Amino acid sequence: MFRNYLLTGIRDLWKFRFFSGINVFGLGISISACLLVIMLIRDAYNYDRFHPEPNRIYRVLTYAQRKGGGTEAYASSPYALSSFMAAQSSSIKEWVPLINRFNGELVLGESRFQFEGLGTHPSFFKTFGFSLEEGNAGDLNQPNVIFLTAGLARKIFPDGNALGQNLVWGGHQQALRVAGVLKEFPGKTHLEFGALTSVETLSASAGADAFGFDKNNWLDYYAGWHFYRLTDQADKSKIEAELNEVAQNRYSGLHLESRDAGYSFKLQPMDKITPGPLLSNSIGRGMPSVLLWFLSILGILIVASAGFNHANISLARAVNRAREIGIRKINGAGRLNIFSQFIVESILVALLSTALGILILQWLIPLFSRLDFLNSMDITLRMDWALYGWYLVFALVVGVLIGVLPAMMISRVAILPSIQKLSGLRILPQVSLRKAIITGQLAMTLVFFFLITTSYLQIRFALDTNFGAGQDYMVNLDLQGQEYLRVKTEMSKLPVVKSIAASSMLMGTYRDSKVDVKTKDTADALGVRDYVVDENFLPAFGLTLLNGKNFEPDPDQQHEKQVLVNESFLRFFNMGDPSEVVGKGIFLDTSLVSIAGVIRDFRFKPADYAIEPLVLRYIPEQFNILHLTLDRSADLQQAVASIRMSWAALDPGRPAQWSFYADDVKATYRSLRDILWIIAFFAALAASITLMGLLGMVTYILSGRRKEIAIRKVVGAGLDKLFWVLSGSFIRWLVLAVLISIPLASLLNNLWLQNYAYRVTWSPLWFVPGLALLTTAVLLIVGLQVLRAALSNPVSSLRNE
Amino acid sequence: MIDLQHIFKWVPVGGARNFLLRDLSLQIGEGEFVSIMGPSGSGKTTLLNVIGMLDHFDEGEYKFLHEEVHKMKEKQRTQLYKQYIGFVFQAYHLIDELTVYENIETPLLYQDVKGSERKALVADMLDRFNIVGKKDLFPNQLSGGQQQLVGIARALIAKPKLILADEPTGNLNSKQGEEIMNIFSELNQQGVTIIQVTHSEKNAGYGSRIIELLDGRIVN
Ligand SMILES: Nc1ncnc2c1ncn2[C@@H]1O[C@H](COP(=O)(O)OP(=O)(O)O)[C@@H](O)[C@H]1O
Ligand SMILES: [Mg+2]
Repeated sequence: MFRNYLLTGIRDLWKFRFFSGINVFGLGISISACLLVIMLIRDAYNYDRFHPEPNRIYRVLTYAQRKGGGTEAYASSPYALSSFMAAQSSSIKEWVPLINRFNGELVLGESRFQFEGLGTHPSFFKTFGFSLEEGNAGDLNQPNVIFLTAGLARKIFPDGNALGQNLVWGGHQQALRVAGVLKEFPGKTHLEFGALTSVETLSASAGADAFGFDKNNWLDYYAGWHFYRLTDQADKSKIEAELNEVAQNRYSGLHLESRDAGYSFKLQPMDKITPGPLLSNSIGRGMPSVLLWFLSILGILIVASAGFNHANISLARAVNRAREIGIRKINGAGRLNIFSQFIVESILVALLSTALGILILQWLIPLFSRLDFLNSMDITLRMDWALYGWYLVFALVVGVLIGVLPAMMISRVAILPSIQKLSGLRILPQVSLRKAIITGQLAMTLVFFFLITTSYLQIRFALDTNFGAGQDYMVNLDLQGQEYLRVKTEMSKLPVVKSIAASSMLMGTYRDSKVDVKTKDTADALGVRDYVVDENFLPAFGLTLLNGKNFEPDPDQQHEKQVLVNESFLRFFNMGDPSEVVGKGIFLDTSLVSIAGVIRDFRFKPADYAIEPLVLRYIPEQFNILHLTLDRSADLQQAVASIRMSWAALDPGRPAQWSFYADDVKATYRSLRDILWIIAFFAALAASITLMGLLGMVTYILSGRRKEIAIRKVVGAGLDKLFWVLSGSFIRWLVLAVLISIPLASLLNNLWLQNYAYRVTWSPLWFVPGLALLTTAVLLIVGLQVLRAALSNPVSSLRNE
Repeated sequence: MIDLQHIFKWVPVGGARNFLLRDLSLQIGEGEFVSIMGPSGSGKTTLLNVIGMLDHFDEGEYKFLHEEVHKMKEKQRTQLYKQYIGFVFQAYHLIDELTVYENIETPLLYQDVKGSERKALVADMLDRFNIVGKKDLFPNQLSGGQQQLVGIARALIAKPKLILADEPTGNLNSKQGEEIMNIFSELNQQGVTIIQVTHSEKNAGYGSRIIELLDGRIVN
């Protein structure tokens, strides 16, 4: 029976290969996108599966309630709280702190190695599935030890004798003894580290401040992540309640961070971290589940669209196959037999399409691997055998789903009309259904086009309206700890360098810091964004001083004396007119400085931020970056080469770290660009599927009118009328699609544009590119098919009838 | 076996009714060989389709094996097509996508006959109709007569108790027609009930009874 179905299916597919081709191709490309998403999902579920009891491990999350209302969830939590709780509760078997204050450089002789590490306890190896190649986990109790991952150990000690060697933690001038080397990780993990040290190393020596970590600071919920391994009987919600009770007692008396109103804490299961919710201050990598959902929904939409094409074509063709169905029924086939036959056929189509999808996937993988966000999330796009299993399951599901509707309709066909080829044979209210499908597809395509247009415009807008001028010819040079004046003197000798400014951190990117500011009239200190800049910064970036004076250069200053503030600052602190505030004193943390001048508001953060109060400070020892403004007529390549050469003379040990400012700002919108890219990819799929559906339909309609076309030709009538009638109906659906897609697209658009304080202003013109493209494509398809029909031989069409 | 009482069938034409069958009563017993005759357009095919439950009627009563047909569910009808009735059409109605072998095999598939048994049964049929050499050809590679042989083979393979044949020899030459009529009478002698529509007095002569139709009415 199955063989009989399969044979009919295959022979029928072959006989009508044009329609089958459209079907398989449309499904194939849309399935390839889904296969990619399945690959991503599987990858996401590969994280942290190698720990001994992953379902007993929990992470402490901090929910910080803000004064302005709202709560922000953090992956990190206070060390003091976690350790107190671990000591108090008998349900907690192990407690693992992971302190994020162990990174920078490791120095061995003349060589330096960048690293990211964590401070932890010996419990690390009991709780997690990592193990040691050499050394003793107990040494994680000792101060001044370091455990290297296999990779880092290989890099630093290529000849393999790492254990017992001494390294210096650069910057802190701290000697560390290599007390252990880890084995290669047994699997993927969201924990990202190159080295481990003991919490003692971070807290014992040199006073807490040296590392920015204090064991006893209950308020610091940024410095570390904390994991509990619970006993088998432990009740998670009970521990959460206890945790919050402790917190209630402890925090009530404390003077909280300026923006915070209070904290609560939750336990997050280890296996819900990746894929998991988006959290602030996340450790390491892994795909957040919202992104997986987003991609899955896109994938499902696309496959659904292609599935509708399949249903559409199957139903249209069912008229031709009705005779076969009628004969089968006369020969004893029941509805269920016919239904199964058509399901088998749609599964056959789905399998063929999946095979094609797997081929296309081989081409998609390198394309997607280039996306920054996949790299930054440590996502590997790789085929393996288990994936083929999942793909098979997927193909079967898709086959059944796309087949159900046509199979149901077709199995209902009555015998007599189908074998008598009566014109009255009705399979379903086809026309209205098909209209709805094609209109839906057109609307979806338009929504995609619309989203692309807006995100493209938003990126351009954000780049255009971003901070500062002259970024194109601005090179950022990282001082890498070199003395500011020395580098500046050396660089200013280059003829290509027109001027040099300095700052602590790149404006216009997501990097920022805050300082607590208090004025005469404010009771509490309030956090304000601060950047350290030199006296050349304002002119270099074309920033306007409204009142007062720029900084006086004073490289040897002992104490910070003066600051510049922006207009928003004055409004925020109710300080009145710019002319009145120059010379007034304010407190930064605890030191008193005076306002030297007021600058006009400008966008110093990416476009998703509104303009906020800003303090510009002058502290020469905090200059980290030089901004070199280049001669506009200079050859950029040569200019950069000369900068690198000068740097090499200054610091032979390390290569120059430089970048164009424009690129740094562009990189800020990388995630937006990635999303644009992904939407564009899905839009291309949606568009091709829609157009293929159209192609199938036009061809089908025309094949039904072959006789009419032939007669028209024989009597010498043109086919332009036919063209207009056909295109007319498609254009009508397109208009309907526009009406549907405008509100839908606007809704979706608002959803993501909301995140941007500065966004492009809405314009009906946003619809024009997508609409123009689609209209042209529709007319082209109809036109070409009508032309093809017109060129066919009229006599042969007539004779065939 | 077949009991038609005062059957009317009509199609609405404008406001009026165009009668295809009028007040038609007919009984056919098991083992009969009935020929339906009459001029073109007299309602022979319509009657045969009503008997075969492929078409509905508008008035009257029809009992098939003592069951009221208009109360039958689709499932019961499917069951009858599977095991009881074999159809032969003037237009053959073979499945274009299947070979001769596969076409003949099809009814057995819906009866869940085992593979080995199927093979034997189909081989028997091919042998009996002398079309072994054609078994891997598709219908459009056969002549009309050959196609009709395949159609009959397919109708017979499930060993039906009733054969409904609508001008089975209409497109065949006289020698082929004679061959088919011989098969029918042979089957009839084995107890199979046969109802055929035919224009040929000679073919009608193979049967035991002739029903003459005119304008949807029985005239003899
Ligand atoms: N479904 C139908 N609708 C309208 N007229 C029909 C229908 N079926 C048959 N007829 C007409 O009924 C008459 C009898 O048809 P039919 O039974 O095929 O005659 P026969 O087989 O004797 O030549 C014919 O005139 C035919 O055109
Ligand atoms: Mg007839």
